[in-house]
Amino acid sequence: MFVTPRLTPLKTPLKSNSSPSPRSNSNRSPSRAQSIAALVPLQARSSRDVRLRPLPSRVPVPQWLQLMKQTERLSLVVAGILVSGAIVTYGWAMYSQQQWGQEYRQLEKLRRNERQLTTNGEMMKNNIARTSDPKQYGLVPRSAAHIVVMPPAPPRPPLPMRATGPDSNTKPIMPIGY
Amino acid sequence: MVRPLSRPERSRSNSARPNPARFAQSRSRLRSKSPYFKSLMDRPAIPSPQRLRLVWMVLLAGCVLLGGNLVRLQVFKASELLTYAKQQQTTYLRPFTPRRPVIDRTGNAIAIDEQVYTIFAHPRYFEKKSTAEVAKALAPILNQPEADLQKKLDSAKTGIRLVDHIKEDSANRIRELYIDGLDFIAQEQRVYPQQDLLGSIIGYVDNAQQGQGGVEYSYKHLLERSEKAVRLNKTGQGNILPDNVPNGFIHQDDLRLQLTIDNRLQRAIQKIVARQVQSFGAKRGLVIVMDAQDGAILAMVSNPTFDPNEYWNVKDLSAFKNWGLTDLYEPGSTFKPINVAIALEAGTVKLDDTFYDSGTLSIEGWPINNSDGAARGTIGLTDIIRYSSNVGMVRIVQTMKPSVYYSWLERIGMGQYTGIDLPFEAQGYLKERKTYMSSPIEVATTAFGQGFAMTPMQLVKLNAMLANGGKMVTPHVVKGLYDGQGRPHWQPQQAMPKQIFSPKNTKAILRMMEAVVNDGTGKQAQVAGYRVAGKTGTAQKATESGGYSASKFITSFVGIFPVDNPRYVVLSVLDEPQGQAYGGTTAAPIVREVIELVAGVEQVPPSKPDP
Repeated sequence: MFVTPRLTPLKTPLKSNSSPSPRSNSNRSPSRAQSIAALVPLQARSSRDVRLRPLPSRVPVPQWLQLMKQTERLSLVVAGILVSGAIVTYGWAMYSQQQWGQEYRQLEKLRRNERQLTTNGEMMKNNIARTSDPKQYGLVPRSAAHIVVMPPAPPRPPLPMRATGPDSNTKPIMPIGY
Repeated sequence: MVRPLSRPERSRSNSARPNPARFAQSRSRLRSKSPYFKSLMDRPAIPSPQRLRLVWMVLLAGCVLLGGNLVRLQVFKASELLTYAKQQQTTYLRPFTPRRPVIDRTGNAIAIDEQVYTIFAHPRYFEKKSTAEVAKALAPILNQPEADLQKKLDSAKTGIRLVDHIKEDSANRIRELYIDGLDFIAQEQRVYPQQDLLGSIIGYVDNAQQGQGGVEYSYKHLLERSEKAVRLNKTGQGNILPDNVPNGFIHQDDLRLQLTIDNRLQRAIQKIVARQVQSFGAKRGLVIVMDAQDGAILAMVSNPTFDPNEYWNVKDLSAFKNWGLTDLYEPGSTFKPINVAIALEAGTVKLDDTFYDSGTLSIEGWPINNSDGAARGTIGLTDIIRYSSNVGMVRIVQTMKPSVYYSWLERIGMGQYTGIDLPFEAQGYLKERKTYMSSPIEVATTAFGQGFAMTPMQLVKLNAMLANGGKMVTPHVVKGLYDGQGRPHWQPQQAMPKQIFSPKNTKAILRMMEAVVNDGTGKQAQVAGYRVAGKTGTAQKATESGGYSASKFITSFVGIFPVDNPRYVVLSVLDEPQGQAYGGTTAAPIVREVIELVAGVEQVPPSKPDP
């Protein structure tokens, strides 16, 4: 909405001849000096020109209105919290879903790689076992000749039990009453 | 909306107004530029009802148009747009749920699923690219000549099956070329890294993901994981939204089916069998190694076999057969120790009994001879086994009533299944009880292992009884379902093995069989450092017209070791070896090599003599 920057007089006319009515001057736009003059604070004018109206006496606000106003303020805060919460939740939900999708693709990829790795590893083993001459690599099939057998040692005779006699330093204590 | 301000507003708005000085400046600039603007700007802005109405009209028209469009979208095109939106936002995700892998006893993967792709090309949608350009881009990835590819692409406008079963990384490389008009159909493919090493045990999985043969067939209930497609929403960027994801969608178990087969043994034995089959010109060969304690099969090599990766390429259909289970044969002399065990258990024969071996015998007019034709006179049980005396065996079996003998044959599972956990096992063949009752020749031929039929696996099962002290264990190749950390989740429930023979008798029979290896027909099975018990078998093959062939034999040797702590049973069978072939000369050397291997892999300490 564009409002023409034109200063219009107050409806309560200022009884001053020194301030010309801009309305009468309407065929040319007010100059900068005039605009500034119109903005001169009231105190600068003679107090005679200003008719002050008494402020309306303070009417006590009814209680229901106060309550309503408080409720309005409270609900504003609650609404603010809810809206921001909703935005955060929605954003988080969207983000987590996107993350889930990406992670799922990653999981599938890893599973696929694991399978390929297992298969390729086994194929390589098979290939080596089939095509190569084991002896060429110093490999020989495992046979009975490669077992190291440790014959069990003959059972040792049991150690004689050392008789634990009564300690010579201790003297038999006769029970005494206290 | 311009309207004259009321007094309080005006006084308030003073401070909010733009700087009047600046306005004055801009107005003077405009005035100086054009006389039209000069007159316009100098005129005071007077609120006019026409202008107000015009502005109102414009705004109203805008609102009406927007409202109309809203109605068009929300009412008339609603269902159509809804369908589009659903198409874009909904995805039917079928997570790749591979069949469970199969591993061997030491944890090597022997069957594992892989995702592969079939690519269809639709040149109609190649947009700006020509078929030549597409062929040039694809040729290095698909490893096909560019000209061939272009020829294929030019053959039709749409629906060209470009390539089958390409690996995932190649498919991804093609995807990154961003060629329109290529369709990727994902499929699962079972890969068997060891190729033909375990073909007869593991079987294969066909195109429809159905296990065919072997463990893939008999354990399909544990290997298959049916995962239904899940309907999920996705964002415009194609990210999946997790709101409809069912429980357990992400968590796939890592269970693997573990076999009792040892890859190392299997591989080494396969080489031995192939070499011996070739050197004796045999039709086929077989070796089974069993742990007699629980019936676990450590190795089962049959020759010929097939590569389950290329099951469609198998020319010789008999290669699909695991003939250790599916084919019946007459075990011949390898059955003799079992007959001695029956007689000892029935109580009609004692360990120190002697029998008269006349070298030849006639029953109901049928002549029965020793294979070497020798007559050894009065000999004990050990010598009957050691020299594989047919006449001696007939004398032993004749000590029992035919009905008692027949009951024992039934009791040890003759004519029945072994109960192994592999499919398509053949049932043993035993003639009817009344035939045994009425004709003594049936009993006599059974005494030296002919006139009935069994699978090689059945013979291993019977010999396992001699090794483990008389308990009848069930042969099996699956150890159970284990997770990634090796914790068991499921194990086959084996019935408590029935005690058939007494440990005292089986121990005595093992000593008799040891004599066969030490100085009898099975000397070629001797292994330095280990006490080996064994029995040779050379049986004539039954012909289709009835009777036996004079030139076709099945030679076999069954070995049990170590005798001082018997645990492993090794059976080797050669079908139709050429020349002067006997169990002791063809099959026994195979068993010797296998025992050396098993002793090494299983770390069996050398044997000690009996105290």
